[in-house]
Amino acid sequence: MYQTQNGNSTNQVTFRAKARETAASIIDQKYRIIIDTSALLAQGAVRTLGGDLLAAYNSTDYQATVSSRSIDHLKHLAAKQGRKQIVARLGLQTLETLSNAGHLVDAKDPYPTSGDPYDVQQLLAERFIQFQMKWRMCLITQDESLAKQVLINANTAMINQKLNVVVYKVTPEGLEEWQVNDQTSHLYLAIPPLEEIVRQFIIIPDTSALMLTNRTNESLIGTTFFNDVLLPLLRRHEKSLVVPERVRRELQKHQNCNSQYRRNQAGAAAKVLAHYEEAHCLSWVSDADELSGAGSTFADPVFIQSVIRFQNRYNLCIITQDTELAKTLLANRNNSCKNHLLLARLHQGGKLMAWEDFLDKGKKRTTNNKNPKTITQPKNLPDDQHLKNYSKHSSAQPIFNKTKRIPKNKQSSIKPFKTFIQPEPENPTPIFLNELPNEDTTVQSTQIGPVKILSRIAEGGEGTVYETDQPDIVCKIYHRDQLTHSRELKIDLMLSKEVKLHNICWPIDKVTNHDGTFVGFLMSRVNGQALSITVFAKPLLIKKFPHWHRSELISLSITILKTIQQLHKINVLIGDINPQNILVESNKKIWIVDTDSFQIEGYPCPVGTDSFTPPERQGHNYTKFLRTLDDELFAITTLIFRILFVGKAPYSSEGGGEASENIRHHRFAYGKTAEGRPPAGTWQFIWSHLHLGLKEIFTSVFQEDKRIPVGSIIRQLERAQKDISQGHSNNELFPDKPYFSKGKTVEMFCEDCPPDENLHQVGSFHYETLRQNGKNFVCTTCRAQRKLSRLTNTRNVPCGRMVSEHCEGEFTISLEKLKKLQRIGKQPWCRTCRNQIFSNPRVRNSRYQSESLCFVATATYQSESAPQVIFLRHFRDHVLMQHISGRIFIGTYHYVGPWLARCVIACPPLRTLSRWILDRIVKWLPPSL
Amino acid sequence: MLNNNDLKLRTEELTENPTARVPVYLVLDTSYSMKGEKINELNSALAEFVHAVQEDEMAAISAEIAVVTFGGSVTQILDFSSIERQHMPVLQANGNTPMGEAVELALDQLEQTKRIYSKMGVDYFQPWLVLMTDGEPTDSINEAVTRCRQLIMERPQKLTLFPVAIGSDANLDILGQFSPSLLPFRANAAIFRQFFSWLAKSINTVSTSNPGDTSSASFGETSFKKHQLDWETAMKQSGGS
Repeated sequence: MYQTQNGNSTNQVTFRAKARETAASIIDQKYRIIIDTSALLAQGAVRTLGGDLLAAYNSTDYQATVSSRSIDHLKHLAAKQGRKQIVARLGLQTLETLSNAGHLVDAKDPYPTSGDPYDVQQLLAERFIQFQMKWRMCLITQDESLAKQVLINANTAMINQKLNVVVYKVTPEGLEEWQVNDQTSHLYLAIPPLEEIVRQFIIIPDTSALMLTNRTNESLIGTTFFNDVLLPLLRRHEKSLVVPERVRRELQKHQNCNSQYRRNQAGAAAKVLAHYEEAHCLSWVSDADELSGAGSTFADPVFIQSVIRFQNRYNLCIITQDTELAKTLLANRNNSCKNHLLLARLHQGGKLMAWEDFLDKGKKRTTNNKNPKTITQPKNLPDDQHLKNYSKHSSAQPIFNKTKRIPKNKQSSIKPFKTFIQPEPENPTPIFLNELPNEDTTVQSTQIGPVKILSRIAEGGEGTVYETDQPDIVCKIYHRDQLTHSRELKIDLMLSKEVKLHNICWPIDKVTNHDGTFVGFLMSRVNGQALSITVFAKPLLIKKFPHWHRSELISLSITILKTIQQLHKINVLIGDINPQNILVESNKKIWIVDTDSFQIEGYPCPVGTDSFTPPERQGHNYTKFLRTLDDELFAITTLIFRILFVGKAPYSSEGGGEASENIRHHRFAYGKTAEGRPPAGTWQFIWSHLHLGLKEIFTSVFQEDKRIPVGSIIRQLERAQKDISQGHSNNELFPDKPYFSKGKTVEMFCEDCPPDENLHQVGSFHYETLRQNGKNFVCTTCRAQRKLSRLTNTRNVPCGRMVSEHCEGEFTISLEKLKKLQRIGKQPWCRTCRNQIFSNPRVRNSRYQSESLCFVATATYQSESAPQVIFLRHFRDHVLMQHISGRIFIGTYHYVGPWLARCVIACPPLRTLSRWILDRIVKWLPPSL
Repeated sequence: MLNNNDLKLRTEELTENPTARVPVYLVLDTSYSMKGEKINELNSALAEFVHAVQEDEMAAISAEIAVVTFGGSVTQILDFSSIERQHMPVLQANGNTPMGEAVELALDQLEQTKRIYSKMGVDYFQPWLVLMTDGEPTDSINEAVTRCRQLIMERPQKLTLFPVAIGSDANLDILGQFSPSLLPFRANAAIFRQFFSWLAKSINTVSTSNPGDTSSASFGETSFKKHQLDWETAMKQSGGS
């Protein structure tokens, strides 16, 4: 045993020596080493990397590079309980050893904007492509695919006798080299090596190749290839890249396009071309001149024609990502010609691949540039941008486009219904019936046979729903005046396809009475209570679902929306989305009833609810038009709003009126662009705590009149749900204060609250404002109370004077003042009129006198704008005031006047007398005044 | 005017409950001629009414009832507030019939309440007013009639008025002036209960529909007309006068 141990240890020594040699040789050959995460986690890493590599580095100044993402990944694993914890710790140790010895560089790579934060594969592959032209690179990784990728890139991008790229693997015995499997690389050798291409072919890139990005949008593979790989080669061989004019035009077009993403790509591509121009390696080909294709050279056919023509003169290599273009070129390739036409595409690894191989593979690879016209949504765009793009390009079109079609579904097992634009002309012929079936009659159904009707469950405007002798089936019998042929046809249509959807009470069977006349239909019996008496009524919600929080409301919304999505997939619109038609059993279980009023094919939904109808459809007759998806989306958003706001309608605001009026006026009172103030109470706080994505949806729909598709709403709800479950958002149903970012609140005392409970959290901004204006803090409940007190103690009265052009006719006045004025017999004037009158200095000075004289006359005629009063006033101002006797008269009068006025008011006969007297006086006064 | 505690409760009601309100105003004749059977029946029917509304879950959170009586003087018996807190007192019959003043007060109150709803951001349905009298008014009703007619004729309809004449002494012409769309219904004491139970049910139907539906007024009127037949049958059966 001793022997074997010895033997082992000798073997080990040998191995170690060999390993050290390998490491040393790598470093001697001046390879720069990059270490991958997988290598650090490998078995034997400590010894190989920490031992052999370190030893090899010892006498040199070189350093190995490791990505900060790898380090973070290791730290993450080391902190987490798991299989890899120990290994990760060891890996970190290794790194420490290397770093302490001064032979480690941390490449500070930023995190990718999407996907796995610790992913280094893409990063390393690109790094290799970039740097292999400058230095010799050595990658140490356990990852086979990464190794292959790097090696293959190296093989075809450069042809050199010496390998500039090597990849090693960590094994317990040391470093082992990765060999490229010849078979797989075979695929890529249909293309001659790049240098050959540069020497012998004219390279023509297409816009798609220049704008190519990789999937994570991190770096631009296209530009990396062109800048770092191709350009040096071209320079060396003094060749140029030939770029058609159409590329320049297309790039310009893309630079002006709406999508930020597209603009970035185009900008980068333009920079590449600029780079080439600087290096004098670019020649523009104007198709019109040289390739003699007149007209717009955007058109692919023209390009193709020119290319084919030029094949006769030169060897061409076209680099494009566009499949259609490639296929056409391939098809048109003239193989008998002596010149070659090479069609290449940039592969994700950043190297060229022949289109034949790519097409042969058959598998569809996704590149972001397949068709510049489709807009793919990378997932890493921030929320609002995502939404903005989506709502611009989504399937929802402007609301006045009445012919919007609902997109057909792709993978449902139910064949969708047809789309109609005009409603079917209704056949209102009633079905003649002797007697409607009711309780205890038996009716016939086609599939289930005779069904006996038992007690009545509910009655609506269209018909009555009864229990039947089948325990889980109920029957709806239409009212006599609602039984028409159209209805029968509609039910037939609904029964024509076998529709089994979750959560929807689709009709099961048609029902006729004993002589075969259609009377109604059957559907399954469901439990649950209508939304309107559960979620939409706060006291009832608390009673029936006491344990619900905001997250249950959100999951309820998601359930409802997913159900509606199913209906949209088969091209059916609900039409009348009404809280009475949605039954709630729990937050995951709902039922949509009243399905016979769905809008299917040409049969419109004959009913509607004002508060769920979009503004442009308010007042229309529901039976006369077919709803569009946009109408439905408005109703859906209103529904979700009301669920999240526990019954409050979106357009209700302070100072609003009835719901249909509010909808027509479009006053949405929440958010930064609010019109008007939100209603008093907790509703503004609910808004404040709402997830940002949801706020944007509501603002777009209710304020800006856009329509957001159901899928987006579901996504935002799911995000909100996640936020709450992770604790970032408030889960209260009725928050009592707005959302404050951390650390920005101040505690203040409310003036009105009782002493024990008057401490409140106030936002610091609000606190500052209050302090600046010298006001005290009043909490929202107390403020609402003050408002109510003001409202109950004041009245709205018409202004008595109406002399100012700014007068609004009505104004608010406190009850006490009103009563006081009424006692004196004066009419209340609004402030604008009062200011107007008393801005005149003469009037102001003589105010007392003028008022007193007006007392009697006003009291007599009961208005201050009676012609007699005006005349008398005029008389006073122009005649009496001029003479001293007049002024004495006025002075005396002002003592008597008020009393006289009061007498006149109190006593109607005296009023008549006074009127007679004053009329006489007015008549007697000289008219020249 | 509300005292502080009432104010607090009312604020809470208005801000916490998002349901659309159904304001119902009962303007009831308690003049001397109502003494005896009529006032007793009225009292019991009213108690049942309040009870029925409180029992129905939807109506309990949306109905707001106010009652003013005119018998000698015009008294506000119940003011608008949540039905849960309200307790209907027993009415006494006495005095003459100042109908005009009562109706005007009711209309003023309704205006005020609508204004409060609007300012506090509470949704509401257009109010209903029930006018019950058994005789002739002793004051001028012209103001009241003009205002009522104006509100009823407006589109969208701002008021629904149900005129009910009690007994054979009631002046149908005068009563008929109030509502241009509904003829007064001649009732007797026997069907008070049925009438108020219909009222409670109708409140429930209205409250479960959606605010803004203009049909709340037309529903009320159609329903009133429809049920008159039932009431008449019931009256004949009970052999009332």
